[in-house]
Amino acid sequence: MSEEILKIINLKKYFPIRTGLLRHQPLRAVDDISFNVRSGETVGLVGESGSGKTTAGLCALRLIDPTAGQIIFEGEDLTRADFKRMQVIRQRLQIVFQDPLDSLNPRMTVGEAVAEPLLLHRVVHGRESSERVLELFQRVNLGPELIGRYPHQLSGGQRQRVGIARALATGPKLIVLDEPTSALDVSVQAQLLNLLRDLQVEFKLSYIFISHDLAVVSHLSDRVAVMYLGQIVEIGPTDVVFRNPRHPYTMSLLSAIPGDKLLDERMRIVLHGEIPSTLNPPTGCRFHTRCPFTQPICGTEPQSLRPVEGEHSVACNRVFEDQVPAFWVEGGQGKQLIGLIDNAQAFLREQRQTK
Amino acid sequence: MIDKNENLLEIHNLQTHFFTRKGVVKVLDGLNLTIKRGQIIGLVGETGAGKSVTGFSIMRLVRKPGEIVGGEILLNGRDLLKLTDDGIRQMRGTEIAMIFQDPRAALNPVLQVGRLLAQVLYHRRNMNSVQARATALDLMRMVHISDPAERLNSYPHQLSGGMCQRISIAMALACQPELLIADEPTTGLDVTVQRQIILLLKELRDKMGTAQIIITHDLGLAAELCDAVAVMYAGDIVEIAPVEELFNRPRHPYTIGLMRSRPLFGDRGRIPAITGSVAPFTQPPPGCPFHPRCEYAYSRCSEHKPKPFPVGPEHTSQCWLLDTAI
Repeated sequence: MSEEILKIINLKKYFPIRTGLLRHQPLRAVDDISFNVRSGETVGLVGESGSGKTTAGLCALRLIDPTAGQIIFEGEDLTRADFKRMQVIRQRLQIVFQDPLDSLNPRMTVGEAVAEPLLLHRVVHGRESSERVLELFQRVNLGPELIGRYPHQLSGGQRQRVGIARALATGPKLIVLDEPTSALDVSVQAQLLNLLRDLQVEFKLSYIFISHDLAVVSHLSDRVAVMYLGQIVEIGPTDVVFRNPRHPYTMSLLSAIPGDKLLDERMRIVLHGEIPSTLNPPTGCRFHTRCPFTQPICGTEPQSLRPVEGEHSVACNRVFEDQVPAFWVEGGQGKQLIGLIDNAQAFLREQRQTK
Repeated sequence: MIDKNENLLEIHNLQTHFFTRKGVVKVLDGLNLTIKRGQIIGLVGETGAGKSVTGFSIMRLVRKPGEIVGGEILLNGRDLLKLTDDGIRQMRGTEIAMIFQDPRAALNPVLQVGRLLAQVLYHRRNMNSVQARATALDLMRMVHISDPAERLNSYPHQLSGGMCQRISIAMALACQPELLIADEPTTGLDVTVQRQIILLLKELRDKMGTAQIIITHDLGLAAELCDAVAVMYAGDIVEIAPVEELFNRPRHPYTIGLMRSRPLFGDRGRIPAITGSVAPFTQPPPGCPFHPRCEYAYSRCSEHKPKPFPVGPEHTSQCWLLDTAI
């Protein structure tokens, strides 16, 4: 088992929200979560908006300061590091944001944007930087002619490649990817996911992959943590969690994905209502207000993660075992779709040969 | 009852061009599409495929520098392109309604949602304020908003994205239009909320017989909600078929490419992505617009643009590979 590069222990982030003239109430964006990331591994964070995934990602880099808890990166507690020390550490700890149009300086060419971290961290000096920028551009498959362009002159996919090049510039060990592909078209998304995977192997990177798209997360992540209202409700190896989910929230997320025609409508778990406010989270299990299997006890007893099997842990007082229809048929949707696509491709190839 | 085989909307040879400083951009150049009563049809494709422009053209909401320069849009046999501005204004909302991707941006932020709904009812159905308020309440119930009476007094910013989308659907339905155009109705919403919107749109069709055009980039959404799916690329419908037929027997290389680009559950291998990106509208490639990215392209593809070839029941595909004449 490879070493842990990042350990997050009992992380909390409360934002004070004004509720009256002098009154403040904490918004518990992240409320006591713990997980770790091993070197070379991808951990996916999934959940609806408002579940605290992005806040957790930002805390991991200390781009916002956590209210409580520890962030141990390569053996060093980041919550104790001062500003100068953090700057040094951030060479090895980088982030890629959702929409690079918002995160890139519109007045800098994208070449300058990629050179900036190199010069800031004194990775290279002066003239060498342009060579390094060229290398980075090539690595993320961007043509050198784009170096002098401004962010608005690039397409969404190209901009996101710039964001990745910029994150790679200082030779990081861990990159937080915050919804890196959700603004992109599927064909561009596929190209970027392939790129991220190649870079991970080449540079032995660890990723924290934040996304609300479960298929994308399942594709890239080794392990996945499902978040609801600031807490992790289920965590484990991706295949195990998605194939055999034990928390009703994970089940409902999986069964809500549009497009699975094989899924009988009656087998779906449809959640009613919307995610409650983190200002006044429900008592007891936070999911009990929307849970289709809720029992009286759920409203009073808070739940914490308990191991089910191996690395798979669930925060639910019921352990679901085959009580819920299995909607992950082994190789089901995937295999069948691949079969159909293969047939269609074979047909086209045949046609091509006759021309 | 509704005769499902009767055509509600027929689009013939629609041409919507944009007159920019860099030249004329022919976003739609000869689009044909037919929608039957009560049918849900999906327009699927990536950014820049012309899906939204199609929707806006039907509503006659194309703005300068865009202009509809040719073709016919027949609703119940009447050409919408020949209507006067007044005529088209009467038609919008009452016969065809449209909802948009960002529901919060589509709702007037300074009016309570009850007032928003009531406005439609005063102007379009000549109701007085008491009737309008009661009907607004019914509409809110129809789109399953909890505590509708209380919500009538909320402003859009006080509601969640999913709730705002329900309100815009309620507004669109206020006059019981025969056709609803939904431009990316679930994009930006959480999966669990997406599911609620999908169920709602299905219910509208089943209960009220509202035909729908669902504009989306999400093949999964189209697979689930639509009766027929049209795949658009560079302003053209490159393949169209009933939903099961399309997903079981895709026949256009672009459709297949799109299907393969989606990451699949349980598959961690490389995604066989379509290479390259869409050519800019200002410099369309000669011949088939998809040929520079197509792995099956041959000499003919770069010379002439293919026409739709029939490949199955109600299934056509614009690809030279499917031309049986040669």
